[in-house]
Amino acid sequence: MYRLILTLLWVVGLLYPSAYAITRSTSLYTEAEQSIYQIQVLNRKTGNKTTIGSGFLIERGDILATNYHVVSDYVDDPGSFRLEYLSTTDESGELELLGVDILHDLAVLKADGLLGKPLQTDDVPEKGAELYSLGNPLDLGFSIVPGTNNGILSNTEDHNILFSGNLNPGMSGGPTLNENGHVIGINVATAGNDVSFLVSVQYLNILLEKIKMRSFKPPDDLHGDITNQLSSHSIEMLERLLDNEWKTLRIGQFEVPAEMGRSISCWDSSTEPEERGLMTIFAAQCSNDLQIYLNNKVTVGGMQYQYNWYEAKTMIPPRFYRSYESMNNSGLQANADKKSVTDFSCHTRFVQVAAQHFKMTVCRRDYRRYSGLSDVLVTGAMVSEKQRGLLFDLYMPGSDFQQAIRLLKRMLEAFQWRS
Amino acid sequence: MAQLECVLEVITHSLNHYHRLRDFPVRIGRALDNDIILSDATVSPHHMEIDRAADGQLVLRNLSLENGSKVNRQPLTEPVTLALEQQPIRLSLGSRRIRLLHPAMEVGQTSVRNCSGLYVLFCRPIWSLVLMAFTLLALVFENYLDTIYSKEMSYYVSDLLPYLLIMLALTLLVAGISRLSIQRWEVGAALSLVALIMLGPHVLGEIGHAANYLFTAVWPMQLLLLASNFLLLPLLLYLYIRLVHQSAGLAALGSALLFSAPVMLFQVSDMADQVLLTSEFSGDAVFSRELSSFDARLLPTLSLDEFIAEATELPPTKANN
Repeated sequence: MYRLILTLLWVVGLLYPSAYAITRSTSLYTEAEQSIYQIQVLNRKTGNKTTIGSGFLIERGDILATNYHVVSDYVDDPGSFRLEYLSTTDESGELELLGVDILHDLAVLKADGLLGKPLQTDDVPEKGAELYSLGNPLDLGFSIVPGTNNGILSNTEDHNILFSGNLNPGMSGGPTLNENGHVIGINVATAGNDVSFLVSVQYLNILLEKIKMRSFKPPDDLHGDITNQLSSHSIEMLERLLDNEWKTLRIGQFEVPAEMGRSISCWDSSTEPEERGLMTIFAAQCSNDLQIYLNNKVTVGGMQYQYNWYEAKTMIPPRFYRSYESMNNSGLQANADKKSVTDFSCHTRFVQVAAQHFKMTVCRRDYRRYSGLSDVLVTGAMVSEKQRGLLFDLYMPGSDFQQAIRLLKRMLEAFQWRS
Repeated sequence: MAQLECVLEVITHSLNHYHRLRDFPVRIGRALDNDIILSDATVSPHHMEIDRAADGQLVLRNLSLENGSKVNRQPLTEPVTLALEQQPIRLSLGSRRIRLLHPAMEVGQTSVRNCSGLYVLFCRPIWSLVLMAFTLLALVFENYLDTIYSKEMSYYVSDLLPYLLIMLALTLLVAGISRLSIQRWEVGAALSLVALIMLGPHVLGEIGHAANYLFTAVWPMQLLLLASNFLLLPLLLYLYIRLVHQSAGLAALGSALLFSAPVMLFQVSDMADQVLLTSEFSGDAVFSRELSSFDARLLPTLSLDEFIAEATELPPTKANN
């Protein structure tokens, strides 16, 4: 699923938020005006802003909540960036980062003094309830956007709230309120056309509890904290998948694992037979829709695997293998940047899987800053048949390596050859 | 001892000219009233005179006011008197080189066309035709392997024609250069050379592919690519020059390197780009992706448990900078 996160970088779009004249909106805005702020990431050298998002007072008059992705530049490089708030009345001041929940894209900040009245939180209301989202879209000024609650997405890994309303870049980290003016979610992403996503406020409460236990002090080792969050999430997620009953799908002569859990969905991506084409291709792709935002180049947690079956009874084997080999180039996206990860290191062997021989490669590359996290890439090609073959690719970015291999083992064990 | 006669050799790079000198003095120059006429623009109309002294020694006298003359690499200002021994006397008239030879001087061995071993490919016309046909077929077969669509014969024939055209054009170029140098046509050898130049990279590529699969590695192909880019052309040119131009080993090597220099320089710049690219972070995983229907390999097929046990041991990657 395509999602756009809602920070506003220096590229300003040409979208303008719709304005509604609803009485409740008017009063809610007036009530919340003293509690919402713009969060800015500033370049220390130039003093100019590089990223903006929104934030709101919570728990205490000097504690602000926003999205992790709003402040990720600062987390990556605190030497080059600093954080500031800007109020609706144009007052500004320094902010200190107290903690993050990277899985739910949350960050908690502390201002240099009391700013205003903290907002109250509430449970997610029933489906269909009116919600009001606040923030500063496209740096145009603080706005309120009405919409509808469409419930918690239980089929996704992140359990976000589906908000049918129009969120725009710059509103990231802003609060979404219920009729009573209580925060029920935090603006986080949009897929466009009134399909937007909120982080459920319960995760913010959990994060605030942890920070309260540290007496509102930053953690000793923020990156260690983030690493722990990511690796325990990866271990838990893969553990859960390993515990599940798996669905299977048929691809050529093989029966292979399909959905391993509710968060994973599989799609057929076979190509239509072409005129004069000699090759029959069946393909299926599976992925979860999780994207844990690390920085503007790297997201982790998204898991993908795909199967491609090729068959050509009229092609002589060398000709078939020529094309088969050219497809053996995993189309899986392995985007990353040099600052985040090392180069891949790979191990290629021949292995028997379900009575067929595969040329199988396992590659891993580790994160420089988040030790214990690896991008795991597996690709296998069946080599024991002359005029047909199966390519299998698996990509698990930001995973616990041993757990990923355990999952791979179970996947390969589940392969069945149906003749 | 009286010198009876000597032989004057005018060095031209196709076929040297010889004049037997009997009646002295002999005058050399560009003007038409000389005894020996050299149509070389650096030679003066009356350039040098060769006379014989009473004791039979040769007397050399420079007449040129323009580019002058040299005897055994020394400028000739005053007339010199020299006895002609077995060792030739080397003269330069302007830029033209000349030797005075003793008639009894031994000449080199007759060079016999060596048609054994690899040279057979160059000197038997039938082999040239076989090579040409094989190369064309191999290139068309490559095209056949590369397509996943069924195509008519005419498609492959029309594919063949550009290759044929390139092959003939290159053959004419090579044969033409040889013709200028050795004054005879060696079309068969030129055709063989061109066919081998076109075929070589494909053959090495196939070998590299098979070797990559055999060893489950990426280095065999990289090595063969180096050989294909930097050794193939000079080696083939060397063999051709040795056989057709009958040059000595070192001279043949020099010419081979000279003629392959432009292509090799191009390859060097290309390789420099490649090295630069691979030293950059790419995010791509590098491993042996080759697949082969022959499945000829050294590695055994592991059981799933063995494979997983090995994969589990894969150590964390280290940042190398």
